[in-house]
Amino acid sequence: MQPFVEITQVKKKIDNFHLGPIDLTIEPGTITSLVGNNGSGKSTLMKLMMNLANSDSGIIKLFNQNVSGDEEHWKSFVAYQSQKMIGWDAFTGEKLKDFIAPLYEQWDEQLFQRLVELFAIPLDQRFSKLSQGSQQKLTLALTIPRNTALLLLDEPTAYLDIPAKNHLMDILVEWMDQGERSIVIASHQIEDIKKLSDYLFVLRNGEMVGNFEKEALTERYKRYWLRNELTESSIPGEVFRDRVQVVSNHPEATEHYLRENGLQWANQSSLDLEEIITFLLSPTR
Amino acid sequence: MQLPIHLSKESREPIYHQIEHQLKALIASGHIQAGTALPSIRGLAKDLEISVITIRRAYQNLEYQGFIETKQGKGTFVCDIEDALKQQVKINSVYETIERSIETAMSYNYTIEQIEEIFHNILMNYKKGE
Amino acid sequence: MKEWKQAFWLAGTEWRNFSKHAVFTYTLCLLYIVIVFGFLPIFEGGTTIVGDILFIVIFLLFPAWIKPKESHVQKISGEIWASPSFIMLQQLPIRKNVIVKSRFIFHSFYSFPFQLTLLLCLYILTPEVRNMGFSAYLTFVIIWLAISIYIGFSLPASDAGDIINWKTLLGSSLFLVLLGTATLTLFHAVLDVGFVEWTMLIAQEYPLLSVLVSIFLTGFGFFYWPRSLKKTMEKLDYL
Repeated sequence: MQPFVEITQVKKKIDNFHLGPIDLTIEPGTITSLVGNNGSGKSTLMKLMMNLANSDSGIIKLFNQNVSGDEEHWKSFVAYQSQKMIGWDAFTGEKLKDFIAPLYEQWDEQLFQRLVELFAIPLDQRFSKLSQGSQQKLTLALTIPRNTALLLLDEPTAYLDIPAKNHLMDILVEWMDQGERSIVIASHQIEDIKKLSDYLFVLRNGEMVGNFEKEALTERYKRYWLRNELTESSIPGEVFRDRVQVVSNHPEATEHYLRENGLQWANQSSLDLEEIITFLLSPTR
Repeated sequence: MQLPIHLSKESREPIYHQIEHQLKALIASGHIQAGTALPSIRGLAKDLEISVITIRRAYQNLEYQGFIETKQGKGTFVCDIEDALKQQVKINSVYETIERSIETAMSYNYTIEQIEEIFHNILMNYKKGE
Repeated sequence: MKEWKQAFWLAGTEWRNFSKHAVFTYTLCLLYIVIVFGFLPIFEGGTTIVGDILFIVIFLLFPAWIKPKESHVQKISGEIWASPSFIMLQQLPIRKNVIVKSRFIFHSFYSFPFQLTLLLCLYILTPEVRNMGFSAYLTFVIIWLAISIYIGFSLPASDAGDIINWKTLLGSSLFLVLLGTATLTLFHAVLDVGFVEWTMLIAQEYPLLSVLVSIFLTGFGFFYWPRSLKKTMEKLDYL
C-alpha cells in the first residue's frame, strides 16, 4: 500500500525558529499524534502538509503528489481542521455545510446529522456567536463527515467538554474502521494520545525527536529503585536520577551495567506515557 | 463490547502476549461464546490504550491458532474450538499464573524451599476453608 | 469551463450568505450617489481635482465598501494580512485557479451592479453628462467599466494578502494617495482638464480609439490581476 504522506528532509525557518529536518511517513490505517511543547512546530508542520506555507527544502508528498506542485488532486483526499477556522465567522452552521459538503464526493450527511445531535450544535447561529466549545464541535461535525482518506486535526479537543471528548473518540474509532483511513492529530490532551494514537511523532522546539510506536515507547522506559545510591556520574541508559531512583530509556543496557557492577535494585516499574513524553520534551537529557 | 482484559505494564510478558493469553482464557473458559463478534482492532486499541499494531499482532496469532476468524467486511468472530484445545488453554493459564507468582517470590530473593512452604500453607488454608 | 462553473458556484454561495448586508449597503451607497451628484456641482464647468478624487473614490472604492467585512484584507496572524474568505477557500479542496476566479467573480457581483447604477445616475442627475449625447455616453460607460477592471481588479487581486506591518501599511497608503493626487494634478496642469472631464471629452472626440484602448487595457487587466493573485498565494506563508 502506498503511504498517504511522505515527508522527506523538510526544513522551514521562521524568524529565529527552525523546523526540521523532518522525516515522516503516514501509512494507511494508522493514527499518529504530533506531540511537542507549545511552539514546537506542530501546526507549522500541518500547514506545510496542506501547502499553506512553503518549505525551505525537502519534499512533502500527499497521496504520491508533491503538495507544492501543479497537481492539486491530493486536496480532495485530505480534510484539515486548523486551530482557528478563519473566514467562518459570518456563516451559520447550515450555510457552512452548504458550502463545504458539495466539495467532497464522500460527504456523509448521516454522520453530520448524528454529530450535530450528539453535540447539540445550533446550526442556525453564526459561527462567531458560538462558544469556543460549540465552535470546535461544529468544526468537527463539518470535518469528519468529509470522509477523506486523511484527516489532519490540529488540537481538535482543546475546548470540548468531557462527554464530547468521549463521544469524539468513539466516533473517530468508528470512522477509522470504515476504510483505509488515517488520522494525524496534534494534541496536548493525554487521553487523545493514549486512546487514539498508534504512533507518536515527537517534536521539541522544531527539532524532530522521533516517530515512535506507542508500545515501543512505553516498553523502552523503566524506573529502578536501587538498594544504594549510585556514586557514578552517569550510567548507561540513564535519563533521570533522584537519589536511589533511576529512570532509563535503555533498560537492557542499564540492567547489564548494574549486574556487571554488582549493584542491586529493590524494585522496578514502567513509566506512564505522560512521564515519558515529559522526558522526551525536556530540554536537557 | 468491553472485554475484561487487564494488562500489566510491569510484567516482562510483552503486551501482545498478554492480550493473546487473556483472550484465549476468556474463550476457553466459555466467557466469550463461539460466534461472538470481538471488538474491532481499532476499538480494542482504544479501550486498552494500546496501538493497533500490537492488537493486530495478538489477533493474528489467535487467528493462526484457530481461536478467532476474520470475515471480510464483517469483523472478527470467536471460533468453535475443540474441547481438547480448551483443556490445553486452561492448563496453560494455570501453569502460567503459578509461574508468575514464583517469579515474584524469586525477585524478593526467596529460596525454592521457602516458596514451597508458602504454597503449602496457602493450599492448607484452602483445604481448611472447605 | 468546469473551473468557471465551480468558481461561479463558490462566489454565488458566498454572495447569497451576505445578500442582506449587500442590499443594505447598496441602498446606502445609492443615497450617497444621489446626494453627491444630485446636489453638488461636481461636473459644472469641468471637474476639479477634488471632484475627480470624489468620483474615483466613489466609483472604485465603494464596491469594496459594500463587500462584507470577511472579504476585506485584514490581520490573520502575526504580520500576515489577507481576506478571511480567501483563507477559508484555501483550506478546502479547490484548485488554485478556481479560488482565483471566484475572488474576481465575487468582487464583480458587487462592483458592476453598483458602478452601472452610478453611471446611470450620472446620466439622470447631471446635465453635463446627459449633454454628451447617448452614443458618447455609452463610450464613457465603456471607458469607466474598463477602468473598473484594469484598475479596480487590483482590489480582489489583493485578497491573497501580504506581509504587512504598520510601517509598510502607512508607507504604501501614503504612496498610493500621493501617486493619485500627482496624476490628477498633472492632468490639470498639462491638459488643463479634470480627469473625469477628460474621459468625457475623449468619449466625444475619439469614441473608436477610446473603446479600442479600453478593450485592450481590459484584456491586460483580465490577464494580469488573476496571475498576480495566484503568484501571491503561492509565495506567501499562511502560518
